[in-house]
Amino acid sequence: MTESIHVENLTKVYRNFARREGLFGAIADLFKREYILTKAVDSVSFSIAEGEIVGYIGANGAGKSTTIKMLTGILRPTSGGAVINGLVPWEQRKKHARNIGVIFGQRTQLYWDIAVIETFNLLRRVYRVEKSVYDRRLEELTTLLDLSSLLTKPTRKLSLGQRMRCDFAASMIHDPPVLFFDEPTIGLDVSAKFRVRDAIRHLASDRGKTILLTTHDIADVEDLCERIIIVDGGRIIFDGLIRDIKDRMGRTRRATIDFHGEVSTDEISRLLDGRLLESEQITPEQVEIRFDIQSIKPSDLVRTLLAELPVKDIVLKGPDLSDIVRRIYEGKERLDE
Amino acid sequence: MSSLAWPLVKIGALESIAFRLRPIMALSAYPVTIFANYCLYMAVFSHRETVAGYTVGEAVTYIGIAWLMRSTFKTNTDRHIGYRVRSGDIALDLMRPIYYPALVFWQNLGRTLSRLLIISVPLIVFSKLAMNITTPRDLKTWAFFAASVAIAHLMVFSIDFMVGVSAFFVEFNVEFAWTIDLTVRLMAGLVIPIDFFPKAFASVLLHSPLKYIYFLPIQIYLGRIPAEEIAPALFSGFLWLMGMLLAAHILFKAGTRRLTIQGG
Repeated sequence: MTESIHVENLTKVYRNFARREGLFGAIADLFKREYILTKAVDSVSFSIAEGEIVGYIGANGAGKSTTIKMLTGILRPTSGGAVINGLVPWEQRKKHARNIGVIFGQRTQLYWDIAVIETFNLLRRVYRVEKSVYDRRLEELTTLLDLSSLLTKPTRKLSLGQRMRCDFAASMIHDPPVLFFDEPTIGLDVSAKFRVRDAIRHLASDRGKTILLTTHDIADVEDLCERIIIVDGGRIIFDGLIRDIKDRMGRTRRATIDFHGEVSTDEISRLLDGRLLESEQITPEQVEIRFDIQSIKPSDLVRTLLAELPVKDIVLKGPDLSDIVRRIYEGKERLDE
Repeated sequence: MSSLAWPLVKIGALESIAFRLRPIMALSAYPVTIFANYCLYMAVFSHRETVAGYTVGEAVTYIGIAWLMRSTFKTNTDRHIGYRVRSGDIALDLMRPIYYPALVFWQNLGRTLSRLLIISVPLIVFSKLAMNITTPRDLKTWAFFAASVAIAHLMVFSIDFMVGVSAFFVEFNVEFAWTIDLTVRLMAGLVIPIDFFPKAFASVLLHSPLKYIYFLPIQIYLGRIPAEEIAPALFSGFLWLMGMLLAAHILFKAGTRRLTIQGG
């Protein structure tokens, strides 16, 4: 497959001044400032094939948005390079702009006080889309995203979900081959999220778009992508298939156990001979444990517990992605081996 | 670019009239200002025939035209840009395949045109009826006046644009915009005609490019400038304008190079 996005050692360093505390500190800051350098993005490299959809995830402040802003050509990196559909985004910004569609979930590209359709009409002219092509595309998008009742409303009167659908359409007016979605499901309710996901899935599978998606909702990624890139502190800590990460982390199980009466974690650890990865007292009568299936088989675990303790209920859980990702963010799980 | 001009002008105009109250409020503010100035001049001229070579009719006309021009020019482009930089929404403008200053210019022109129609036309009627401002007789004066107003409009735009883009460097440009605005008002001859100032100060101001914004157009309008001096004056105004546009371009380029987008 042809490569659509290629990023190599992309780095962005921000220079921020260290604000001193309190009113006196603030006044002192007016005269003399000390600067600190922060590496928001640190030697990031990856490539994405044409038609691939990749989830780009990481905790708040991991450098996702900064990366997207560089790839859209708005920000200039401190060092490193990127080529998207044969163009360097920040060098050929205007030309690059025709190849990409962008959604920032926290902002809107629609004019706030005027009807949505006016923004669309303007974008048609901005991207020089032919009238007949535009009419057909708008009709298609209107059906896909159910926009017919929204087009004549000013943006400020739309709900967040409606606005996001319109923003979606706005980013598709010029039918760009590459799409950047920066938290497109942020703040949406469950059904609006499903709608947005459906739209993304349609773009990826039926239209062959290359999509880079950042989100905090792991379900988005699980639903839409095969491959994820996980960033932390500006660096890539995982780049691969979701299937692989599950396999790799899949040796652990989690069990939530309810007891008749109080049972402490110490008691359980003693009983299981210290073969647990961790245990946590949720309530006096409930304990959560994590274990490796190679050091103790689930069947043995259950048998031992039932024989020795007043067990009321045991719930065993397999690995799920959001759990794995949370543990990576919290530094409890390491991916580099 | 030209194919984009009209759609952008239209968007700018639509935005500025999206709320009914907005033009109505602006429309009611200007007559108050103009009337206050009118009263001031009537008082100043009550015991004198002329002041600094102006008759009372000329002085009143001067101030009426000056505020008329201001009412269409002042579209708060500086604040618009500053707001978008501070909120980070500027990112959305910069990812369009358009030269950003052009985008701002056409939208700004849309606002100007809608103000011209909604605010200035009623103001002209008001000024004519309430203050009896004079109008030039010959077509040639009107033509020169129109040319000088075009230069003035572009100068105001480039100053506002530069003040707006300064938000890239200082992040918070409201105080800065305010200071520049007051300075321009004074030095460009909006508050009082430049030749009302003490000689030394006036001669400094007459060498500054800001005089092309209000002072020179109104001198042409009032016929206070010899016919043969108009064309050279307009030409040097045009050169200053080119310099300002270039400065705006350079400032914009420098701004985008050191740009950081605020917020996630």
